[in-house]
Amino acid sequence: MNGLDDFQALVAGYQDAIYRVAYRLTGHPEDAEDLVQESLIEAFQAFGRFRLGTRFDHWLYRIMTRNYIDRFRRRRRLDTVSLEEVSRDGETGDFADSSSDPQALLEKNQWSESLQAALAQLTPDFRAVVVLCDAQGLSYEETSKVLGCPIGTVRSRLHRARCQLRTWLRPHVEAVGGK
Amino acid sequence: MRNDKACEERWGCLNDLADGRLVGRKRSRLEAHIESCERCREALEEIRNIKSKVRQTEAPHAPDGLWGRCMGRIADRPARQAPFRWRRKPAVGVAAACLAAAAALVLSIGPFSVHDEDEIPHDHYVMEHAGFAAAQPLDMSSHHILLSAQGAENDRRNPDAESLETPNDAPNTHVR
Amino acid sequence: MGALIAAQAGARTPAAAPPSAVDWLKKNVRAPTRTSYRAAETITVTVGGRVLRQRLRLVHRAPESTSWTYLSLQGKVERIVVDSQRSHWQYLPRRGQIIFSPSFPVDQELWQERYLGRLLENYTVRDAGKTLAAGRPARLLVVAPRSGHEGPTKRIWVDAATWITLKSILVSSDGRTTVASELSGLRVEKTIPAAEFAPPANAKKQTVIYERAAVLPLPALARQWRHPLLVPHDLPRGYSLESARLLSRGRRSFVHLRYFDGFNVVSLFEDVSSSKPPVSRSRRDDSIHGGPAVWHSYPPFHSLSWREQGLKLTLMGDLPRRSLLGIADGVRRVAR
Repeated sequence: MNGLDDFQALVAGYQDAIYRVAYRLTGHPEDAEDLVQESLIEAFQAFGRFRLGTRFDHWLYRIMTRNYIDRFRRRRRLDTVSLEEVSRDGETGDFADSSSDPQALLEKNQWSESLQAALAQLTPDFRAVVVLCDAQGLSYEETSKVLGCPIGTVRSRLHRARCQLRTWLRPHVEAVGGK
Repeated sequence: MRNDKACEERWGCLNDLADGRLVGRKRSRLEAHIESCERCREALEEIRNIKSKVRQTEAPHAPDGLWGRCMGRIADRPARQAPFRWRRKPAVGVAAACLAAAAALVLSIGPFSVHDEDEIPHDHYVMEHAGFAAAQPLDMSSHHILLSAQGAENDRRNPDAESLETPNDAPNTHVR
Repeated sequence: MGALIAAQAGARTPAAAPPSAVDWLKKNVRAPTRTSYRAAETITVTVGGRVLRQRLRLVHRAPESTSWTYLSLQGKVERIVVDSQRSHWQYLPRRGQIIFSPSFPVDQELWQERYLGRLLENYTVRDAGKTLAAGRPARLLVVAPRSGHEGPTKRIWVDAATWITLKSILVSSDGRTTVASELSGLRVEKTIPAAEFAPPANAKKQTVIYERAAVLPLPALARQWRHPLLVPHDLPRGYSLESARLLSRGRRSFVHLRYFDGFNVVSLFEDVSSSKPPVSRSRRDDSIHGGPAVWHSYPPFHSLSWREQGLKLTLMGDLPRRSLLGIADGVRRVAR
């Protein structure tokens, strides 16, 4: 059964969101690409089980978050910036809106950086909930289906994650919002 | 925080309110409380701020060719499940010292520079290039690139503290 | 173009007329010779989606001594750099080590005489009006490439009182990198003790980074350099040869050709290549004259290396990659 065309069409409809989720989870462009690639391969193999008409993106997020959380537990976290990443100019992907206003560009980049740094402090479970609920706008119910855990768990993780984010984002919020 | 459990509950309710999950009497009671409680008002504001910032902050776009690569791999290999590997490797080498958050700004040391004794190390080029730029009154960034290159050069000459020459044995050179 | 003519003629603006944008720029360049100050500085580099930040303490003693103290994230001193136009050194407390290196003196008079005109040919300098920076009244100047010219753009917030740069943002030629510097807690001082710029007494280990350079006219350099001399033939408009130098490092020598447009530098280095071909670690494969080419990034500038005719060539500068590729492609042997 050649579902490749259908699969490609579905992926094409959600490309930005898929990469955004991968990037917010992993925090690095190269890891994000790996996560996307491996998740899409797995998704295609399981495509026979996907019910057309239901949310493809949520179905994919389920695969991505499971991959991410499973692999993360087995991997030691390395904090230093890799030279390879930095030297890979142009491959890191840049903001679509190459605004000619450098001040705005600077602020936009600073926000993304501090948000990513704050997300990096969360455990993978907490991060997944924030990325799904707050970044992607899924409801508690949808998130609980994606993560395969009770709604009460989603709620408590989300609240605690926001509490942690509050501390890290607060100085930044004050600085930027003060304008 | 005087009462952690109460605070946690209050935080939970405020979050529910921000998420539109509070209804009926619970909601009106909380809204009434907020009218008179500055701390809760601020906390609610913070929650809304976090939600909107997380929602609105842009992530970088996918690198060029990512989707083509993905689909290519899927088309090539439909049946086998590939093992998942983290490809990103830890920072290694001399220039890692330069790259730490506190050090001067980013550099990449290429394959020619660190280990090729036969060739002029790449950092020398960076030093010469950035040195002239740094002497321009309007330039500021090159100064820091120059320092990184000098740092890398220094690390190459002095790989570790123990093996340093004493100042009197400095090579026969002159400082311009 | 009135500013251009005025600058080139060295004309002084009449006392009654308000300073032009170029006047402000000249004041900004002169400012360090007049004012001593202390400040905290934050440098932020954004490249692609990545942001790097460096905090420093800055002390400047007019006319020509500056010290930068680099701080770690925790606020510890990571290194101290002093430039005093005659000497330049870095101190690394962790290793108790000082590195002396050639200084790169900023000569404001020379700059105005030699480079300002060229800058104005290739860039516009616009006064974007009064604003605030670091909590002080400031003037925003925008230095931007003229239409058709490739180069970075720089915004400079000039302190109205002292003319020093309170803040600046440089956007690279390809728009992908920003380098920003911002002062805070600025304190203008009447005097600063010279002792603050003396190297620490307890620093034992010392390294000297030396330079032996001959600056030569191109034909003379071609004769001294016993290998083919390769020269760019397709430079973007506005960039001209600033200097051709032959440098030594131990037994080896290399050529450094500097191209300059008054603001932005492009360098071509050539030295004798070893037989090993370069290893490309980039996913992007480029080639020059049929051989592999390797990119490195030093935000805001790029570097491109390749081999041909027995030489290793390295082109470096803040230009879009496609422009650097174009320049590299047009590199040809110069007749002796």
